[in-house]
Amino acid sequence: MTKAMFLLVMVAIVFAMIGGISLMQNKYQYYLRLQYAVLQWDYLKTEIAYIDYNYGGVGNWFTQHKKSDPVPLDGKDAKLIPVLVYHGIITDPNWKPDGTNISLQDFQNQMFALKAAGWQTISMEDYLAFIQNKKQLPEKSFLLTFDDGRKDSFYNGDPVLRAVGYEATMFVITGASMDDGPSPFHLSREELQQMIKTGRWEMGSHTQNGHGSVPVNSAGKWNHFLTNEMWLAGKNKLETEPEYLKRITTDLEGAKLDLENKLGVKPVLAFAYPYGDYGQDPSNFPQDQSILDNIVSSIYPISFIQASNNDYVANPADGSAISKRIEVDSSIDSAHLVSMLDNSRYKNLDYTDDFSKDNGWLEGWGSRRIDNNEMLVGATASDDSASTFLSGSSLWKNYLMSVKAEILSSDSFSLVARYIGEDDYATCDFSGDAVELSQKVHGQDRPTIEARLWNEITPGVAVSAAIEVNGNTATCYLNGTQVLTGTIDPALDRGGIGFKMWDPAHKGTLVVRNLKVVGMPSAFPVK
Amino acid sequence: MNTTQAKAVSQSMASAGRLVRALKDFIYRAGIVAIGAILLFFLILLKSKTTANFQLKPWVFSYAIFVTAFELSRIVSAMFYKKSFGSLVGKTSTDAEVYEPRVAFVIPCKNEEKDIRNTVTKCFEVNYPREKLEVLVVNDGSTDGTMRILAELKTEYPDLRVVNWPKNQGKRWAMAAGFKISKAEIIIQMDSDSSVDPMSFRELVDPFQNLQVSAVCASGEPQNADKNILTKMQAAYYFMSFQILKAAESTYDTVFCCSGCCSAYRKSAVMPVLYDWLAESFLGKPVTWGDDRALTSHLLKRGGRTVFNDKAQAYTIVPENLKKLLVQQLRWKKSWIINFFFTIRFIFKKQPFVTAFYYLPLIAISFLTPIMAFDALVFTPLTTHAFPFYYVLGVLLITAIMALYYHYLDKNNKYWPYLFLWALFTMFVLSFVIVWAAVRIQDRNWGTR
Repeated sequence: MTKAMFLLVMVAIVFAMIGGISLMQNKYQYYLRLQYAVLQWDYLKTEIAYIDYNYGGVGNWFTQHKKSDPVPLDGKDAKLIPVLVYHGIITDPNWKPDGTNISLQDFQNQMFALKAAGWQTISMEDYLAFIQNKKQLPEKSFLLTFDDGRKDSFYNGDPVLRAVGYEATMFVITGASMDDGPSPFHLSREELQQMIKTGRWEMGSHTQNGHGSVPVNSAGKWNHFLTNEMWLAGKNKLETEPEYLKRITTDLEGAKLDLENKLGVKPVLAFAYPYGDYGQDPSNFPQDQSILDNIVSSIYPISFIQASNNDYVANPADGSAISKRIEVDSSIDSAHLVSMLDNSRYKNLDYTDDFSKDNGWLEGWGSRRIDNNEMLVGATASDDSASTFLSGSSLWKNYLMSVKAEILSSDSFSLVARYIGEDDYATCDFSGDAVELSQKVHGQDRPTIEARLWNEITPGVAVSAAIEVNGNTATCYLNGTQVLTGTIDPALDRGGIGFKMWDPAHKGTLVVRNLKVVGMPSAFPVK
Repeated sequence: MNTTQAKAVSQSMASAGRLVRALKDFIYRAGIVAIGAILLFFLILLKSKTTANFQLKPWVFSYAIFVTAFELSRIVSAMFYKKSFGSLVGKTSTDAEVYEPRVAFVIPCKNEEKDIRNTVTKCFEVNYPREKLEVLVVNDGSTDGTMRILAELKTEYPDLRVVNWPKNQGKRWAMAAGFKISKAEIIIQMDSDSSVDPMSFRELVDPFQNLQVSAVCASGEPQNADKNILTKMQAAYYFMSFQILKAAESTYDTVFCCSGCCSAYRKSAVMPVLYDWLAESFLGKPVTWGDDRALTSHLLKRGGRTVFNDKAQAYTIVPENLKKLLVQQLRWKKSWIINFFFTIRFIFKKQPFVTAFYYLPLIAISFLTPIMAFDALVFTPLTTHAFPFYYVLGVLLITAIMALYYHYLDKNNKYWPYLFLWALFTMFVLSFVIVWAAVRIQDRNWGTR
């Protein structure tokens, strides 16, 4: 009896010790489990919030139709796919919008609204296959990404993703996440593994330790790690190009290896440029953009930057190694986001716009207002010019755009065609004394192709203006008359429509009405 | 106030006093448990800090669990001691017929003129009927005045029996002679510098009512405990090794060493093994020390029960300087090693449970500890230049749990803080003595005594 009792007590003690020791040794594991248990509550809460959202209040759960009953997609395939990027998701009630992060409430509203509008996330693999034109995806597909591998984006975002059935890619700074000690800010290796296990998260690279700055001159100025040659204080010189190559390659390959070896991500598909800086920001190394692009594309099949104001928000299946992402924060409300995505879809030709509502006119510069069946494009106190272009028109090739245009308190405006981005487009410029056909290619203003003296543009008088692009030929029309025609650069082989105006006095406004775009049968094949 | 009221008041006061005492007792016990739990928590915390993960270093992890579990198993076993000992004799001891067999003290001595008078006198003072008591001194070739003092004592105590050997034969032979000559049923073997507490003497005899009991070990306590720090440390060590470790062994009626300072044997159990015991040799040489351990082993081999009685109190003199202490420890370790080769051959058959859960682990720990201690205290500090802080802390923590139980067993024993010093001494010195003992195993001298 005593022996049995002794054995019982000793077994209990040994178990308690082994249990206690492993508990304390793996206290981080247990901490994670605790966090995960707490997360279960958030899952439940968010599921309920989602049901509540769908039915517009608890009272309607059984009587109303769901908001997110799938919107019929009439079987169309996506020609353009938008990519969203978020950073942190904040729950602190005292937090003020900071231009980078988003409150949980706003994030939840956005995701619920996107879901209700029929938008669905896709995997990185599918996205890459789409970009490389290897796979068709349904319309209203989008890619959801998060930068920096922040804890708050997972712990606050995951319940929302789960509720709506979305998946996302987390771009991880592997040096900050794979180090042994868990950090209060970055997700740890264990958490990343946990995320992968949920099936809702994929991992991408956000550099190993390159999400920061390096000294760039003798004066102690610091600038982005990836896009600058580092100042070597010991040698009192900048690093050489081979040294730069080695530093960058080591970091980017290191990040890839971290993802492969420490998280089992195979293959590593995607990379996101820290700060969205792929070399466009000021740097001490002007050649960085192409060199960096070479390194990145040799390691990662696809990379991501942030779209600027002058960029289209959705990416075409053009095989490009760089995709543009819409940076979303608390300044964008959910309805705006939904319309932004809805409008980013490919618009069929022929296209008419009576400006009874906004069909996705994106503001490059200046201001733009759509009201009373007209669109007003105007300079502002800070911008002496204004530009706008039409979301979803980027893939158009041969077309004639005509519009009723009226310029107020200024004397010039431009119709834009083959708008690829702010660096590539063609314009017909109408002013008080001339009409010109000009183009911008790879950021360079090309010499005017054609100009004709003319004096039919008077402020306050509406004219009918048109631009036609067909193959390599562009033609400008005014009041039904072909004014001039010319040959544009082959680089401008496709692109959408827009308007520009310029007024040094900051007062000019262009008013456009009755837009019509008519598709043209190709006169001769575009390159 | 009338008498009834006064009685009622005094009764209620008495019951209030009882309540306060019970409450105090409860608080004390709860405190002990709480401190024990805290110590155990810190121990686990420490182990988890120092022990490598099981997957990474299974041996280090297992050793840590093993050693700690073993130390705690001693306390757990000791906690069952009272229950086990209580069931040994049963309720017959309080019956009208008092158990009073014939008892003999056998005291071998050599050149003990200082202590022998005191020892013999104490023997005659015990609380036992004189006609059933025998005191037998074997003067083993003393060259000083021992014999003269014995002659004097003989006149004072006519029933004192003295066997005088002109030539030294060895302690073991002297003890054997005592066993042979005496007519008593129970023979109490004592060192010449030990004495037994007269009032608790019967406790040494009582367990023999159980016919399976072959030997009873008394609890030894240093008489010279307050002499210096070394003796205070030994006082703590004696208390622990008797009241906890021997009690733990006794829970399963298998005390491996009925201490030479004062133990009682059943003559009928000893006689069949007497000559085997006398003839003990190791690697071709006779074994001159460790006779207590050897005799206990022989009794265990025959299937006898050997128990410890915590209420039987004996006193002894402990070494007062480091050199003597080390010589004594070396001797004990040597006898432990030699006895291991004897015991291991039969113990599993006789005591499978004790072997599996105590004896084998004890052996493993005894031989592993010097290696681990060397690694933690010498090798790692030398290679990494770091003080073995966690190792020492771990040892002190487990000692703290021991000390806590120590304090719980006897609140009045003031030596418990010295247990920590003893633990440090054991860790830094004694754990390596076993290595030295193994090296010097063929040196059968007693060293200076």
